Amino acid sequence: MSLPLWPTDRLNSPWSAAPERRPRPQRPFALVHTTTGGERLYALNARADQAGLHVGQMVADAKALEPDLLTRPHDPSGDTAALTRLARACGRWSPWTSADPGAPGLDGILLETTGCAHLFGGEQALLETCVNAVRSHGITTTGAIASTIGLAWGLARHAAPQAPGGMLVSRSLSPDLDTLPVEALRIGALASKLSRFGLVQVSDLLTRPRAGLARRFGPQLLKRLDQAARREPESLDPLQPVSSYRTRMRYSEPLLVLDGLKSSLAEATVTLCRQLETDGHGLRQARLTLYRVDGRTQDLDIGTAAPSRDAPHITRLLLERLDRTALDIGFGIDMIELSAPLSQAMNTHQAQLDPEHTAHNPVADIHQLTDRLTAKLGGNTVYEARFQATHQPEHAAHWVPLTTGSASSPALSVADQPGLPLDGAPLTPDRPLMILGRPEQVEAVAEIPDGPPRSFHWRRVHHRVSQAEGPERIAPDWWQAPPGDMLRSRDYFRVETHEGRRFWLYRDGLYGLETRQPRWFVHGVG
Amino acid sequence: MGSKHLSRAQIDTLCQTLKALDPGVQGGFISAHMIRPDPDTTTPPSAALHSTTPHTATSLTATSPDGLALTPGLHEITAAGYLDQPAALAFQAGLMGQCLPPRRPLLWVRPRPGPHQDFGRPTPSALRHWNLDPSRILLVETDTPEHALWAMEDGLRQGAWVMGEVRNHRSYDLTASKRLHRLAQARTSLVLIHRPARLEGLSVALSRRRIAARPSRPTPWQGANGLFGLGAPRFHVHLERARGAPPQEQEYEWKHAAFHVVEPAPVADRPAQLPLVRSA
Repeated sequence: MSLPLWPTDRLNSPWSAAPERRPRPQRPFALVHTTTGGERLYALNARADQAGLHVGQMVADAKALEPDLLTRPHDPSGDTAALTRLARACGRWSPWTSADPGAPGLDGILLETTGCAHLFGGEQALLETCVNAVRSHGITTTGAIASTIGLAWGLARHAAPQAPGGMLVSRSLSPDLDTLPVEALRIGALASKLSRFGLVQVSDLLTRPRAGLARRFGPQLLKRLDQAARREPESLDPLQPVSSYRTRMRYSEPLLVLDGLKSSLAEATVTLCRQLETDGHGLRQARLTLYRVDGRTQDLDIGTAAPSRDAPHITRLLLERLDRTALDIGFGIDMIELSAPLSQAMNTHQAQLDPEHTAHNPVADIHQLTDRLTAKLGGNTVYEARFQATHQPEHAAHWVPLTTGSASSPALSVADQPGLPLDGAPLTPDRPLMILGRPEQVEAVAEIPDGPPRSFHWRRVHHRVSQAEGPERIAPDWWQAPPGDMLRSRDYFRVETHEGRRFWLYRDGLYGLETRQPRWFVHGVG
Repeated sequence: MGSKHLSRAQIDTLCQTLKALDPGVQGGFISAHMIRPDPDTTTPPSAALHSTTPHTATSLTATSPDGLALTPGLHEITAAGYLDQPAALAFQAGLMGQCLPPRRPLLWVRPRPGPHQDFGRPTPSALRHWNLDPSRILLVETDTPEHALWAMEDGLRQGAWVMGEVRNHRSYDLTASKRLHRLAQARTSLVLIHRPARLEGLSVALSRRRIAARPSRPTPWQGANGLFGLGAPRFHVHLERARGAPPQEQEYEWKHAAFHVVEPAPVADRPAQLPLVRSA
């Protein structure tokens, strides 16, 4: 699909990020950008085009021609973002869509329609549906369907505007490609160079010897030519994650309240789980896409800690995710899509005959609990302990967020016997129960050179040490330090004060060897 | 204090168990009163906590003369002061470690550490010293107190035991605590809530203990440069509130060593005792 006036049209469309200050299409309007020599027009709306303005014109000249001209600075990133949103909304016609931003007038959307057309009554009907839907938002659109991306790109921009209704379905490859101008080959400025040599149509190029073309115009020309002529494969990079498990529900009337959505969600989940069951898979990630009537989409993602095709569980996760989101329904939701971007093989388990065990499977329970907590409270909420083979105490044992839906499963175990160490968990020396987020510097009185602190001041309280153990000397990871950076060893002491409070302090640096005035830090308590 | 050698068969069993457990270390509270090896389980008695003050209070329940075997439901821990909070957390972890049955996951729900978060995060490796297996713990850090309560309730429903830290907030009130308590009772699990030292608001907790750190007995060896090493951590526990029992004060010591059993000498006004066992 080609969107020749996208930068100006999109400002009035629902995909634009800033809905306020919309220029009215009846007024001549232009986007300007600053180039050498001052501000020039970057893109025009239809009205400004009729007034005789052209892209690249100086703003001052344009204003002289058309005093009513409204201008606004050009926002390339906003254009691309809005184009991406539009491409996502086109997901309702094909699961594989992609934004195709280009030079002014060359923006477009790519849709892979293989296997989709029959759902809409043929290619012509599909194209009409798509183009009319986009046009209904006030966006100038032409479209073409062809067997290669290159050909469809060229047809949509160069042949379709002359076709009836601005739409074209290519029946065969070669005649359509031959008659296209060379600009239709996605070669940018090279096209004007070709025209100077009299190579105006693609057929002119096809009759020339390839070696000569490559020598004179570079390999890019031949690559684009081959791609358009299906001699070289080209595939689009879809915005949606590719998934073989997906299910959709369309509503005859747009839903304005979430209740209907929630009830149909359960149905969609059952369908999805049935698909998964056929392949013996369980999903690790699920994405619920809500398509709004006005063309916007919203994605809701959930993850599971272990492969699952338990429909009630997944439905519950999705509902909790829905509740957590501030959802803007707009004018209603007319379609939802549920897909499983990440799935894994999942073995079925023999049901246990022992009723006590069947009723209570702690590992499955803990996974379900993790899923629900993450779905409700969001990422970085649920943590599990991990151990690493390092001497740095803050890294040796730490908490990592359980991002459910990641490829690795959590290492949670519900061992029959308590107290068994985790696999690979090193035996660590005594550590305080709580480790501070960052060590806090304290004023300490200590024996020189490496005695324990006798007293220190921490959080406005004076602590006198009565018992101490140490030092536990931990050398820094000098092989990881940036060159020239002097890392210091730490001497850790476990101390108890006269009140019985326990602290974990360290002296930063060896006295005399690494520093003249070592500083003391409290790193843990309890 | 009486002591008696174990029989050869018992020693063999214990040695095998010890090998199986090695290098996992077990800890536990010993009360002056009660901990003895349970003949029914292969798990050895963990270490123990013993009370260092004469124990005169009446029993809380028939099964927990020292009041540390908690009945299912909601219990609360609080600290005597700001600087006693780490000790209270340690006591809470040890108490939970002592009560948590095998195969039960533990949910530790706490407010997300912020600039005003006081004592950082628990250290997984240190949890083992308090009898908690870090691989069974799900740590949940929530942004709001409501989320914390929701997570605790959900954890209970899923069969987990719950350790919670709540700040003074209106969301933790009679209703919320009653919900937690009922859920825990229905699933015979335990909710152990850590509350701030300055209590605000009511709750239906079965018991509330106020913990203060006490100096430990110095070790017989030197720890560092003329100072003695750290002995077993000790706590002063003020049982402020307990259903059906008067308030009482006790001192406990956490013994972090396997097979450490301490028992008091039997006195007149007590039920008959099994043969006393003490091992190094």
